[in-house]
Amino acid sequence: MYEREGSREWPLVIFTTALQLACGLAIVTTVFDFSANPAPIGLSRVFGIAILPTVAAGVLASLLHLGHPWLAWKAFCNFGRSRLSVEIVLTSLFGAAALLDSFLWWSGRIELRAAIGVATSILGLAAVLSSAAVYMIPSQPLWRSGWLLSSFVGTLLAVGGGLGATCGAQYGTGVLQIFLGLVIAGGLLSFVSAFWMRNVFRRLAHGKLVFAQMQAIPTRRNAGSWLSFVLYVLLTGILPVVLAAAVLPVGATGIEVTALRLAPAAVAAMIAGAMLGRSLMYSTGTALSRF
Amino acid sequence: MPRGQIAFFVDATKCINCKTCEIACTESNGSGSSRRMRKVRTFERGDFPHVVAYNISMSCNHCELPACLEHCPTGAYTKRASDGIVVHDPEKCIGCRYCTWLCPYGAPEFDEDERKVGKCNLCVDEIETGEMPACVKSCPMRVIEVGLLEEIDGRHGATISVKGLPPPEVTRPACRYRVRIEARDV
Repeated sequence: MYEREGSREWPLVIFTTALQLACGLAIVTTVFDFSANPAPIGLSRVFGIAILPTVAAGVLASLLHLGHPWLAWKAFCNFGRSRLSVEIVLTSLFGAAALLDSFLWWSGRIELRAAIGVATSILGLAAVLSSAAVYMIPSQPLWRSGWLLSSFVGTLLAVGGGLGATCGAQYGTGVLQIFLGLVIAGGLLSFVSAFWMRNVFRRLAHGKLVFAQMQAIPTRRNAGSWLSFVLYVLLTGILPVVLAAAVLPVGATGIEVTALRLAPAAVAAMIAGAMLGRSLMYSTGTALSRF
Repeated sequence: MPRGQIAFFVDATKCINCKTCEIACTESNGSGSSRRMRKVRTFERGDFPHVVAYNISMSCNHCELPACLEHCPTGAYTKRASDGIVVHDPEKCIGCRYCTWLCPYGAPEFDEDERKVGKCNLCVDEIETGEMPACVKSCPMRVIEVGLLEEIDGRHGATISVKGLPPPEVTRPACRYRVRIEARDV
């Protein structure tokens, strides 16, 4: 008999979301550097400096998941075989690159910053992909599906694009439209992944390896999970797409200005939605029942 | 499987769900109250009047492809070449709990007191001195046995394909179970 573990694993929720947010920040600030006017202006400098603290906050949160956080260094030991070791090594490399990138944004030096930004973005993307691979394991059939990867990448694109949109107009219409495109792509990916997840759960609900997990996903008997699912779809799928679509034909109409002003609040809502979705994912981690 | 693979044989047709094996295992291995390395699970299937219930006493299956060993970030798991027993080294464990997600049989369990994971090591110290594991010695119905897999595999009804258990292809468990025909996954 199977039953879910029931834990929403908040330290890991914070870690994965922070990793995606930091990667989004790295990509966005690199786009700033490649734009026609690369000098740091207001918020963009704050975003550049924020890459490192965001990675650091995620890593610190992940340590809270461990039984013995001070022994975390041992997790590098099985790099050749363990997906978790690979994730930790890539996250550490991302953190090191973020240190340099954030320092360059803080100090205001622009020479080499674009190149460092590209390296940081690539390492961040690799860390996010490896963190998805950690969960796509044969013994967790609910997670071993493209929806998990889609939701991770969707959050990265939507949140990163949303942050870029808050100050992207300063770098020109073209740059703003790139960010709005990222928001729409990320939002659609999140929307698709949410229903893909539900379909996988439904399909596997009577399978050999899964038959009690439906308790953990939205059902009429589980109002908490239903609410999480609905908020997840609204905040990470529908909200960003609607707001970005309102701004995309860049002009100066009232609705566009309002939508752009709403961007910071929308990004905060997207992050909250992504965390809810991630907590829903962890709560469906299954093991053979203990009783 | 390594030559000389040692494995459990559990005759579930005789198990009365008394859980003596669980208690003996916990006592013998000094596990905390939040961790049981051997568990007796009851499976109930079917609709009235065609119902079936059976008890499976299970610990670590000492698999041929142990997912815990493959992906433990600290390398805390090893599969002994001599007898195929999968052993967990608590000194290397950092309590990340990844193995509890990796094992389809839920063998590794996190101990809230120790803040580390632990699992059945087939009472390897006892085995090496010619003794039997605590669960084998304690079972009043003589349900659990330990032997060479090549011998166990030849026993009447020995299988790992049991309804309700994960498909064996994932990790290729070494242990075998004898269950009633209704519980067989054919």
